[in-house]
Amino acid sequence: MVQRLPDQTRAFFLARGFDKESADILGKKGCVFQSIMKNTAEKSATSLIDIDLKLWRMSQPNSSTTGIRLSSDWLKLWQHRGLGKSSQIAFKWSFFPTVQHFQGGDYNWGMTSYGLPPGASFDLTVVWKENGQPHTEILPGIECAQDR
Amino acid sequence: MVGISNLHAMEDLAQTLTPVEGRPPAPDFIVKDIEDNTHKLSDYRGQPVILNFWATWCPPCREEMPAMQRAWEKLRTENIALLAMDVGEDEDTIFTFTADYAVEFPLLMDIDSSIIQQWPVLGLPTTFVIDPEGRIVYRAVGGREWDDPVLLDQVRALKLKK
Repeated sequence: MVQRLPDQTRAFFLARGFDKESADILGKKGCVFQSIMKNTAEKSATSLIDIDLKLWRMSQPNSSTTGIRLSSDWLKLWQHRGLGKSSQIAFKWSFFPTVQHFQGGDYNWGMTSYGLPPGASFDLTVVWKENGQPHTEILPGIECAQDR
Repeated sequence: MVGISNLHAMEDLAQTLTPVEGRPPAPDFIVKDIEDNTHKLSDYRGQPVILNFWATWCPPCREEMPAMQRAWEKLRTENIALLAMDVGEDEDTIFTFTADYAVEFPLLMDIDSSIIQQWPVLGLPTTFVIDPEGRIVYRAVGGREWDDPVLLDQVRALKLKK
C-alpha cells in the first residue's frame, strides 16, 4: 500500500472529469492509498487467493472498529452529486475491486480508501483466503497522507 | 501477499494464463475502434482472439502495452487476433495516449462500459483468450509479457488444425 497525496488524488479525478468540489471531497476525506495485490505462486492452477474488502477492518485508539470505505460507498455519493457517467466509470475501475480472485501470476492495482482526514492514523486488519483457508494480518499505524 | 508498489508491476510474477472452467461462450459485441472500423467479436470465429480490457489511466495497462505490440508483430501473420477494449474513454483520449504508446493492434471503445459488464471482469487489466469456436479458454488478471513464448504458444495451440 502506498499513500496517495491528497493533491495526487484530486488531480487524478479532476482529469477524469470530476468537478472541483467532488475531487476535493476525496482529497480531504478519502485517505486514499494505491494498493497492489499479487499472487506470486508459480503456476496458476495450484493457488487461489480470494479478497473481499468488505471483511477488512480499521481501528483507531478510542474509536470503534469499522469497515473501510468501499468504492460502492463512494459511487452512491457521486451518483447523488450528479457526476457524469464517464467519471463514475473511471472511478469504479480505478478503485480496487471489492471482490477479486487471484490465481498464480495474477495481480491487481487499485485505490483503497479509509475515509479519514489527512494525517489520521489507524490499524488495518487485512483478511484474505488462500485455497479456501482464511488468513488475517494486522498492519499497524497506517497514516493518511498529509494535505500539503 | 500484500504487494509493495513498484514501477514494474510484472516483475517477479509467473507468466501464466488461467484455464477458464467450462469454457463458456464469449459474449458477443459490436464496437468501433479509434479508426472508426467496426468489430464484431463473432466475426473472428475460426481464429484465436486475445481480448484485453484496459484504460489509459491504468498503470499496469500502460506497462503491458509494449509487450502487446511486440506480441502483435508476431501474431498478425499467424491468424491470431489481438484486440484491446478501452473502458469508459472517448476516441480523443485514446488517440492522445497512442502518441506515447504507439501500437498497431485495434483499440476498441467500450465508451459506456456496457460491454465489460457482460464479461467476468473485476479489475483492469484483465485479458481473455477466446478459441476459434468462440469460447473463453484462458484468463489473465493483471498485465503480462505477452510476447513471452510461454504465453503465445498456449494461444497458438488453440488454432484450428488444417
